[in-house]
Amino acid sequence: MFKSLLLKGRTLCLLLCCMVSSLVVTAQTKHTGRVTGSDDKLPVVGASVRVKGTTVGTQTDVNGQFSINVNPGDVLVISYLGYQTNEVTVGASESIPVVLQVGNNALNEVVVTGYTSQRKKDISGSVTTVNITAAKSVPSVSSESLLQGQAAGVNVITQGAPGAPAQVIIRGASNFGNSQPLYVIDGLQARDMSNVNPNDIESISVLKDAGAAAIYGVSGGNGVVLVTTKKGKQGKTVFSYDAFYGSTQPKSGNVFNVLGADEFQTLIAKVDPDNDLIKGNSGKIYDYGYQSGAGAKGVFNQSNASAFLPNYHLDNDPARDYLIQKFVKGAGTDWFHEIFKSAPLQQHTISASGANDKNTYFMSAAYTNQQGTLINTYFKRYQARVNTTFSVKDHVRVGENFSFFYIQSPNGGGGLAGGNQAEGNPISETYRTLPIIPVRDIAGNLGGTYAGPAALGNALNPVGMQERQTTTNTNLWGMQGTAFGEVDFLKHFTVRTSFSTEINNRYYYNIGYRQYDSGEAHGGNNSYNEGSSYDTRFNWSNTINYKQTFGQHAINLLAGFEARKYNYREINASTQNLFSLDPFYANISNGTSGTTANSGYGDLNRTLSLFGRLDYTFADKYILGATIRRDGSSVFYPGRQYGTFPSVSLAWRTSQEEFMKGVTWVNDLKIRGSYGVSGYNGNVSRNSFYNGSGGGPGSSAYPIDGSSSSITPGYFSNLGNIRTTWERDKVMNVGFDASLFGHLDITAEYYKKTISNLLQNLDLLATVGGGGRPTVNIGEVVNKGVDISATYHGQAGDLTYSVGANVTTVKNTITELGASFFTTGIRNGSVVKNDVGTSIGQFYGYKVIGYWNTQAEIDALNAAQKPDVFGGVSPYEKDAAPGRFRYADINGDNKIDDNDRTFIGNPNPDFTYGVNLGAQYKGFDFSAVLYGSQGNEVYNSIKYWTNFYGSQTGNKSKDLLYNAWDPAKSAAQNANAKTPILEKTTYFSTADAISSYYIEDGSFLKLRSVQIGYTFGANMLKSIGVDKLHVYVQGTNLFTATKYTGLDPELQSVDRNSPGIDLGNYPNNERRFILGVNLSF
Amino acid sequence: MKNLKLKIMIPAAVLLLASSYSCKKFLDSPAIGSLTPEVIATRTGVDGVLIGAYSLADGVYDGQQGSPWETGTDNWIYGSVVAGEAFKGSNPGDQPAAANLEAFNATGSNDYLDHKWRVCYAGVQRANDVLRLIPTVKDGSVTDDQIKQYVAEAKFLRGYYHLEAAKLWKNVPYVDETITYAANNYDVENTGPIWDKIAADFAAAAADLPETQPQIGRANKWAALAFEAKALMYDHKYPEAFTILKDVIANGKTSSGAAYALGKYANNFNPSTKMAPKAYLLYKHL
Repeated sequence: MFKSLLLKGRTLCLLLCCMVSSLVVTAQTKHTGRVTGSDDKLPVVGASVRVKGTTVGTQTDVNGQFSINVNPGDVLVISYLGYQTNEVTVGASESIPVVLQVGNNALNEVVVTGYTSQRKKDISGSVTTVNITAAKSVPSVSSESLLQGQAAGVNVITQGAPGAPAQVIIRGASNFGNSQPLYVIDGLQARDMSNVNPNDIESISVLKDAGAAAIYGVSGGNGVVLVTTKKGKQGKTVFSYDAFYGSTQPKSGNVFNVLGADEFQTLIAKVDPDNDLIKGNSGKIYDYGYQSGAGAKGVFNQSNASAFLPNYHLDNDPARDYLIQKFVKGAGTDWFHEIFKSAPLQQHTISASGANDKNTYFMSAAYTNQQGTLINTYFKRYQARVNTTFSVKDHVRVGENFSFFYIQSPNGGGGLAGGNQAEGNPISETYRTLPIIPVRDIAGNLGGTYAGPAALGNALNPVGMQERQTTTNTNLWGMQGTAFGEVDFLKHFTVRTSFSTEINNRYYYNIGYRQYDSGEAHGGNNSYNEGSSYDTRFNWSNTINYKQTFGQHAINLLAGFEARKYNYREINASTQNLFSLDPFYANISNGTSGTTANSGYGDLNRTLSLFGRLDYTFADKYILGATIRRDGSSVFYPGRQYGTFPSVSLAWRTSQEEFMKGVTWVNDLKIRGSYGVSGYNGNVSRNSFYNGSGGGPGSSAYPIDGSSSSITPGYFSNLGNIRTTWERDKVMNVGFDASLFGHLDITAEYYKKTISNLLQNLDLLATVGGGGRPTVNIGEVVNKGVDISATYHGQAGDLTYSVGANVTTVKNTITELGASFFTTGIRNGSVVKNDVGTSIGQFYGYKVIGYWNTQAEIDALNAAQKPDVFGGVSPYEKDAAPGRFRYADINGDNKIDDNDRTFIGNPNPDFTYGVNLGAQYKGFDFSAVLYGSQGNEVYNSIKYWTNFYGSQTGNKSKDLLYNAWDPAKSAAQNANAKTPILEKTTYFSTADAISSYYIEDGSFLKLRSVQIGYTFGANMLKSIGVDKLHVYVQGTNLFTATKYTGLDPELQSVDRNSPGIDLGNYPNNERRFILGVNLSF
Repeated sequence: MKNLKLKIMIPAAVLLLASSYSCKKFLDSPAIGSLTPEVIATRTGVDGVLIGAYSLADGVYDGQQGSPWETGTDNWIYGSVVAGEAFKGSNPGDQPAAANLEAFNATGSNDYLDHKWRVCYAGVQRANDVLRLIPTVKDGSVTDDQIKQYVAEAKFLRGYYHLEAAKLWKNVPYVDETITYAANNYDVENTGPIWDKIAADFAAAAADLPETQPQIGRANKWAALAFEAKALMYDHKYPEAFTILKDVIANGKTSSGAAYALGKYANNFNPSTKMAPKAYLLYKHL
């Protein structure tokens, strides 16, 4: 990037010189002109205006105007980055209006690549650039979500909690741990890009193949996202203000299809008549529930109210409580909408930028406040950035990028109590809490499962959970920055040193209230927790660059050295039984002695690297790129520390060949291919090769002297592996870039990525001991797929429009594994099994082939069973009975057991796609962004809670009451039953096993955003001193087309690359309406 | 010319600086938050590792797979619940694996058994860690007598954890201190019962353990003998067991020196009488 600026600077000097000389030499007539852009009709500032065939030229001023002395008949060449170069023949008129058409040849743009930048047409590796304008049209608080649907080959899974980061995977999950790409922000190899203000971003490029990414060696295996922030542009200082304000609407209706209070009463009367809530009350739920700390609990009716109500008491001492709540009748409590309300979102950025011929500057400050639709969730961020560059002499440049952010958000992740995707979070509790329970009890305190019989269950009042978040404080602050110096010498050489660093801090303190409303936790203690963590990263890069053109040969050689270090510390403390929970009183010292617990952790790793790259172009036709990197990492044992990662890429700009010159519809065509190796070491701990010993009160301490007050610490050993080394990603990539018909840009690529030596904490035989497992290089995963993107630019009169689309396919296959393993354990088993021949994250369990219809068909199968070695006879299928699931006999041994489990679903989509639509008509602009995923399946664990009466006490699905398997119905009618027979308890043949009953089609298409705006012309604004004013209205997520019955089929991974499992997810398809403004002066 | 020199010197200086950085032992990583084998090879280190081995006496540790009630040496689930003297409680959807054990229809996917198995061998290997660590102590901080006693205590614990596994599965692998990940010999066969090896560990422990210990939590000679008798009884070697048990009843004492007394069995589980003389191995739940 810097070099492109440098080039511009030089051109600029040249132009300035030309201007001066033109004044001296000529006696031609003076012509003036104004250059405007075809897209926004605004003046183009700083466009180059040159007389063709001469060195005479000038530049446009801030009003897009230029004046130049020329003769009629001269041809002016007007060019500006991002626009098509225009040639105008000077006529008799002294005024020359010029309209520059938007550049539709995307191949000419300058793209930031590893440690350098290249014109897109010179790139031989796989590099995708993101259309920032389109990406920004979906408001993103966490900036990696900008990538969703905008870059072929990049899958982004989001969730809705305020400020929650998205999960980004480039070309498929590549391992069983962290598949996150490397983020490089202005040269800083950063933890993430979440807190880069989208308005500060100049460009994002994604390096996907080894040809492009292997220059990052060890860190490039999962792909690289390069973010470049803005620099001042030549001309006067530009001030701008970008802001939007919007309101997010929660999902409406009965989102989990659960019962109302009266329906719930009907359900329990039907299936559980002895339930204490109705027993002895002729099938009706009593009016009140109560429980006292002394142990008495139960229900009573209004007629007895006077005997109970005066006892009500809520005390600090749980033993003295006497809580009473009045059950809700009729529709009952709509728990989901008790905690989901419409919520505002706003963001404001102000910036100032500019440059002269030596120095550039860009400064911005921003405020973001996203309130979640879930009450008491929020994400507030304050941030600032300063980017400057200075030319000390013609050949010496220095500069820096610096940004700072401060975030306030409960839990740091929005404030969803219990975390996203958890059975104990308030979203899950909305269907786990009975509809008869009131939000508040008779005295206005929280209602819940305490005041009444055990039949109320063990859920937590979701409103209470979120109200208790108000004293959960997490503050995050951090800074990212790079300082660099650059010197040109010996004409063709540039040496550069740059030091980048990042510091992230987190500080939290929160109060854990005694959950007096909870049946299970009523007698617990209050608690107070406080802690902090920080991490620092730095990378110091030094490069030397040689660049020369001899005739038709263009050579660019780069060699570099880099040192990196990462350091992390954390400390946590908690205490219990505070006398008062006043936030001003609560601190760690004020708990009861003996309840204070501390913990801490540290991490450190270092990397040392040498790297080089060669870019060679012959006759603008044949392009060779080669990179090599040698990385050493401190996480491996000496002797295994270094890995070498080479790559080579070739490209042929076919369109430059003579034989293609006649093919006018091909504006540009480049065919390219690459092969290379990159690596990854993110899935290994810093101590992996040590047989180190650890300790801890719960794991190895023992009261050796018989006294539990002075526990003697002990140690246990972990297993180290000195043979652990790099994961290796071999990537083959072929593709082409084409510009056709002057309107259409297409890029299509096929890749095969083989990730071998996968690092896995192998689960060994128990006989090896119980310490931490060694990390072993074992396993191989192959990702194959096609990335296609196409953009069409068109114009019809005053209407210009563009249609962009991209498609990503990934076929992920595990080809080698040390041992198959399960992940993502939930109540009824582990959902995911990773095994050879399947994709990472596939669901594993019993396949439901229907319901048992008659006892006779079960008896017939049971009769054929043979006695086992002990003489006992097991049934064909455990707990089989009419109305329960009939599982498939996968192995054909005429009985259903563990061996009949099979792969029942795949969360990985066949393809994901994004569509960007854009149009401009006079001052109006329109844009729309769609994002979709096709063929992904979802494991809907919510059905476990709602579709079986006996699974856990909680609210139940309407399907269980109205559409269950019914002995009164015919087999044909029952074939469409939505749930098994309504029964009081669950069985292996109903809810107790992981089965295909829970699998749903998760394909979706979301209309991410639709925006209509209007730009006021400069003339209209001159009087108020404004150069540009753009206002817009926007709707996001106006529709989600899906068959999925839960809230949102877009589901982040909960455990080691296992997406697509719904465990109570904060949806990211809520509608939002936004009013926005972009102003500059 | 002067300018040219400057132009070369600046980049040269940068490169020199860069290369000097690489000369430092930048990649030598210390173990972080972890004790390396060299650091722990002292008397106190051996004692710490031994205490780590004792700490699994309750069958529970942080970071284990499964929950305490699945693996505890009180064997609530495998003893009381399966035998019918305790009821799992709650509803069937809560811990279905426990309900399956209770109903005698546990299948291969029942993870309680896996977790219990793992904790048993975690204990065995923690005891083996002591035996492997002792020869590496070269700083002279441990005397021969101390070595004898540490070895005896470790063997006692190794027998104890093996016994725990053998009680549930009978034919289990016997894992001694030569079995390690590094030696890649940990796939130990389980072709027959190992009662004799368990009894031998207890016998070896009894030979070297003192009758009393300065700390009540350590096993003494009598505890080892009592467990040896227990292992022999599982092996149907009743005469041998009877001989030992007579000795234990007549002369046995706790680590603190109190004579064994056959009091109420329930006293072992009553907080007020927990340290009763009946308890031949004391431990506390942490």
